[in-house]
Amino acid sequence: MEDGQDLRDRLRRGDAEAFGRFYCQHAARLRAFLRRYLGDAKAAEDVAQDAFLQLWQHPNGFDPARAPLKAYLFGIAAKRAADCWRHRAREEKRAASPQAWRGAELATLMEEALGHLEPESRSLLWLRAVEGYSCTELAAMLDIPLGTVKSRLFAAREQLRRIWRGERPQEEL
Amino acid sequence: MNCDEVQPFVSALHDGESVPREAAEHIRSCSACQARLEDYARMDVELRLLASRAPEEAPTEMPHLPQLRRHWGHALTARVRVPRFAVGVGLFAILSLSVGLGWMRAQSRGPWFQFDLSDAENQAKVGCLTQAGDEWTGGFVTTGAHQKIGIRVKALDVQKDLVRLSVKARVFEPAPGNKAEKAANYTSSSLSQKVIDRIFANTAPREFDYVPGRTLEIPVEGGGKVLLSGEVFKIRPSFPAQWYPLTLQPDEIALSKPALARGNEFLGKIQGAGSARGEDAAIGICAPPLGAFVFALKPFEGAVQGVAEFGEVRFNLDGEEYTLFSATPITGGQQPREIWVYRSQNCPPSWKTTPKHPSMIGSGNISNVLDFLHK
Repeated sequence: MEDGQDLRDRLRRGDAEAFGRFYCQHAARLRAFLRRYLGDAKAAEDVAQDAFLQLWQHPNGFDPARAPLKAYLFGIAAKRAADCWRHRAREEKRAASPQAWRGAELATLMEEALGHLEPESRSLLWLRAVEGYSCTELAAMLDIPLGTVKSRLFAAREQLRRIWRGERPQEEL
Repeated sequence: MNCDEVQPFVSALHDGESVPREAAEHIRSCSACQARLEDYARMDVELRLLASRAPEEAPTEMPHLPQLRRHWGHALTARVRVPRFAVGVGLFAILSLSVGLGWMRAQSRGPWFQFDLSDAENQAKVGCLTQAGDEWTGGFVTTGAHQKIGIRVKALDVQKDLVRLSVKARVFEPAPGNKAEKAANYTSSSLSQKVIDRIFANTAPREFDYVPGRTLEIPVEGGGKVLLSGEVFKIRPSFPAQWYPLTLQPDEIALSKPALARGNEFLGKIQGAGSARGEDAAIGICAPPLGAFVFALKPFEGAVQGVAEFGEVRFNLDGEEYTLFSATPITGGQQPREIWVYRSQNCPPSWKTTPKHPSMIGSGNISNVLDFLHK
């Protein structure tokens, strides 16, 4: 598996083949993450494509010493998803309600509980629990201090736990 | 610690981090906190199960990758539009740099040799700067009350560790003598090259090997000796260190790159520099049309008291305040200290100087400098 310095060098040289392999390895997981973040498969697809394009056009932004290339890609995607979310909220004059993304995909209690969280909290929990990034890697990829990552994770977990255990979401109290 | 305080540590513990001992002990003994920890673990499992239950996606097409313009080959061969003016400026800059570089190379004649010449008692000092191949340089130093020495030096070869010198040194008798020889009692800057050549016409040059940093004793034709000490510099020293001493003895007076002001009026920089040492040490400058000024470290007839403070002398003459500036301290000892200033309405008759620019007259003892002013 290619990553790090070697892959960055290939991308800087414009090696489309190397980029294609990287895309195949990570595109599905990235889209899954973005769907959880945005609650919209179409928007998730757009943001994922944008994130890959940014990586292709500006590989110099990636520093192998800070985090793996995959983490860098997820970091780009998370920031773009946050922008997308804010933009959509402004456009539609409404906060994204859980119903906006649940739709037909609602199947489990956890999924419903997850839907009550703020997008940032949701993505942070997802990146930590599903993608397995450490707090340090999350800090690097999201460009926020390590302490902030820990405190946000704690807050997100507590919120999710309350909802998951049957307590009402905070915003409905 | 209570459960509220420990909650953040439960999250940290779940992330595999170490937590304070107190928090760990609380979590171990608290069923509520343990339940929270178990919930976190179960939530993670549920999240992963949720991810695994996501419907299998049809592979989407990779985005169209735009052609990148960062290949060196492309960058080197690509055409660029540059204004003609910019091309002209660029060519002019290249030409100027080439000419400047050539000129600098032509000017470079090896290292510089900077040296002091002083009499054996170190009463008067002359500073010089030269390079191998330069014309004769040097000056005139005073020894004792009556004996004057003229010295000319030419650097034959200047190396980092050794300087080959050719030296002419001779004694001048005090008055009676011709005008040129009297002037020679003070500094070489008062004499034309023609006069200097005549003075040294019959003096045989002698060669010396000088090791930089040491003191060379040069025998003088007619008796006595002159001390030479100096350093070799790779590039031209912008501020000759030895000629402009930063620490002076209490009985020493010196001027380095001096300038004179009257009230708020700047009268100009004073050409030359000089120093003298001893209880009678004095130094003189000529500042046309105001006349000549003599500065000494002890009172003498006709002199007024001024104040010397490091690189500055302040004094009052005929109701007007004057300030003499120097790049280095003017005298040593406690500062501020007294200094005496004498003014003559005219510069010495033998003095040849540009009327508009003040110049150094010379240095030595008070009687010699005054004698020169009045004759």
